Amino acid sequence: MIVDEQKSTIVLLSSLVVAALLTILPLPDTIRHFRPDFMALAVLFWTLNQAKLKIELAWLYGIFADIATANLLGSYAFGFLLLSYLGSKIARQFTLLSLAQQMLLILFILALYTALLILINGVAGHPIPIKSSTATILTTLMAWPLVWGVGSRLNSNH
Amino acid sequence: MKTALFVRGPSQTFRFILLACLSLGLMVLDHKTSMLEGLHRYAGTLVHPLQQLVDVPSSKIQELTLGFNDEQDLRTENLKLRAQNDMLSARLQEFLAIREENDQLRTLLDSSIRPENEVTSARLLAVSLNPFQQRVILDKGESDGVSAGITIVDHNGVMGQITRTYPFHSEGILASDPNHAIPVQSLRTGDRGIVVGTGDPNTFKLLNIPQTADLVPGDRFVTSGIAGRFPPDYPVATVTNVSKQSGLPFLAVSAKPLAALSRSKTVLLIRGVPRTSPTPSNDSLPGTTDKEDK
Repeated sequence: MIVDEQKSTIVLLSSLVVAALLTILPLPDTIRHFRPDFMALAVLFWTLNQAKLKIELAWLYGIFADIATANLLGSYAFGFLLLSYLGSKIARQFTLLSLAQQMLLILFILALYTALLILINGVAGHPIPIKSSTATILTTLMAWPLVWGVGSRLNSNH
Repeated sequence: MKTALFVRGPSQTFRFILLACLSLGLMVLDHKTSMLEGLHRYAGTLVHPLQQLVDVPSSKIQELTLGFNDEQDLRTENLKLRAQNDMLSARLQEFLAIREENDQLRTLLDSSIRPENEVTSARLLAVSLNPFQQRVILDKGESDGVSAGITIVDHNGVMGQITRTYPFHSEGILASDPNHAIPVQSLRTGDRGIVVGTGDPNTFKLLNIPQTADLVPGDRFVTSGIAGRFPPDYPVATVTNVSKQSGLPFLAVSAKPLAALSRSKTVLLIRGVPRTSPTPSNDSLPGTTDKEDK
């Protein structure tokens, strides 16, 4: 039982690191704006799937993300905190929903999260990329069924 | 997950509010003060291996394509580079002679001789940073003598400056960031202005150019060296569009960066050495102090 716990913690942490790597991986300019927000996906998945990710850990992960992407310290932290808090509120009902309902909820949460990040960066005086933010929300939403499907299957295996 | 029937300790909502306040505090401190520089230093150094790891594919691909080039291609390229090198050496002779002459004339005029700038080369890591800011990561850090404020240029012009240094790498801001400004001067007319980024790596804005200035598209602007941050006479931008609006004191000028802001891989770091004599007082323009003060 303890071994299982350790194993799932390792899976959780390594998936978070992989998400961060995918986020800072350089892409050609044309498709760069369509990159899903992998870190947000990871945070959402681990809070919605059996509430494995505590909000404190999500916050720490946000600090790590801020450092890795040379962002204002605390902005991703706030964003991921919001994701995991909202996620943990609906985690119990979430698994019972159909995929369409799930995606609608995810869209709503992602919109809130993106609005928060845009607000923070706007106040800090950075330009606001509305188009690429919208594109990111949509691609992140598209990636959700895949993440949920694959992730749940992997999770139920051990 | 097992949940206790009666949750002990602070509730989740309470912890959420606490952490949210903490994030807000961190953001304010990070934006307005330099109190968190120590934290940035340590955390940045810890995270750097990830950035290096991500950079590996693109640098390996570069090496591989070099390996796939056949000998013939390399030969022709070598010949071309040699010819270019010969030409540049010849131009350099001319430049050195002119420089010598310039120094002599300056001595005659009792003006200070301009010192040579220190130059280091560096490589930009292929790392995708956050989309809100125009930032780059460079592979040279404090151990190579890099310090904050050093100018980054590529072979065509000014790219930006170093904002934060770590032991083995550093972080720079590109001139296309809206929070970045460079004091500049027109090569043709001598008009002074300020180049400010727009967030788009292909467009700059030129501020504080008086309505009476004689600017035409194609005019080149070089650093004026006024604020003391950028060494003088490095090319920055060419004017693309000038529009006169009556009632406004300044021209609305847009310009194109000379440096390939989104494409350059190898860059030079230039530490300007200040001239010894004080600059004339009429050089002070409103707002020429560097806006990059984060």
